[in-house]
Amino acid sequence: MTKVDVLPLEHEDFRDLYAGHQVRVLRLCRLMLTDADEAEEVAQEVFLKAFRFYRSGRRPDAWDKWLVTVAVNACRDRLRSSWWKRWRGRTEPFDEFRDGERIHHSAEDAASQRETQRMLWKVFGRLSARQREIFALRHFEGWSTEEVALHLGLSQGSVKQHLFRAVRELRKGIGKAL
Amino acid sequence: MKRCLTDQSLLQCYTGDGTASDLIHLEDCVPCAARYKALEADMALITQSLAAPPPARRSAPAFLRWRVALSAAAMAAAFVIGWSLRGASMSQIGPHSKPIASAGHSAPVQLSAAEPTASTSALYAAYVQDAFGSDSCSEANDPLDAGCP
Ligand SMILES: [Zn+2]
Repeated sequence: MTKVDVLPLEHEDFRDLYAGHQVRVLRLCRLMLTDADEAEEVAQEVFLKAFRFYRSGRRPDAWDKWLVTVAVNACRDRLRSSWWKRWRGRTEPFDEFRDGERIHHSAEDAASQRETQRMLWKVFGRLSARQREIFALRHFEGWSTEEVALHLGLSQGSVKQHLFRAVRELRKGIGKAL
Repeated sequence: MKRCLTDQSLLQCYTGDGTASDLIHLEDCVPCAARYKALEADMALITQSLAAPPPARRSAPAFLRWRVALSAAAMAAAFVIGWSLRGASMSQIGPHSKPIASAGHSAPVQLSAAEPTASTSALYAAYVQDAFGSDSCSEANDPLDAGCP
């Protein structure tokens, strides 16, 4: 570690880091957990960890990869916890969409869009955790197949297979929604 | 011309993992090109839909519902027992009367009001405020917290 790496920190820098990555981290957590509230909690944990790391003066090679890795691990921990499994098992996904983040052109459009989203989230929630993770990293985080394979310790062929199955199920979901 | 692409090969073309021969086929084959367009449209819809927050789950977890119900029942029972014993103790005079305190096993359970969900930014602001608000290092045992004295 060089001396530059342990220079006193500016708080504004962390605010910028948070502002620049919060949406992405939250989205990744939502995709992995398929639960908005859980995702908010885990995203908070991720940034708390990032803040501690930041305050310690250490720096990752790239914050975006660091945050994604920490977020993925935090989501995996959450998924592994028996409490979460029990909680998930007793709730029925999904009922109502929260307002916001959608533009409705007409009531009919809005209803149709909601139905498609509901169906896709339902299908997505039924994918394996690994498929969701691969899909999120590949299609939302823009990781290459090679990067995902390296990160998960899988072969590239296996990653492609998981991704294909996930996409196949999701496309079936569109068919059901339309 | 080579055989038409499988769905998996088509997806690999979409994700940038397609082989050179698959890509050439895709350029020359009208049906495969049409399938590719349909895939593109579906992927756009899928990613757009999943970029929105997931819908709220249907109901409160069953165990939470039970907890609330049991808490309410415990409160009601404690109240009824307390009330009846109070009445009994007032009417009973003598050394053999049981102390009222013996009925205190089922202490009333306090139901906490549902806390409003703070927004992410508000929570962030709170913990940053908390962190910067004091000079002491609260996470002394945190291995990540190398910056703490
Ligand atoms: Zn073809």
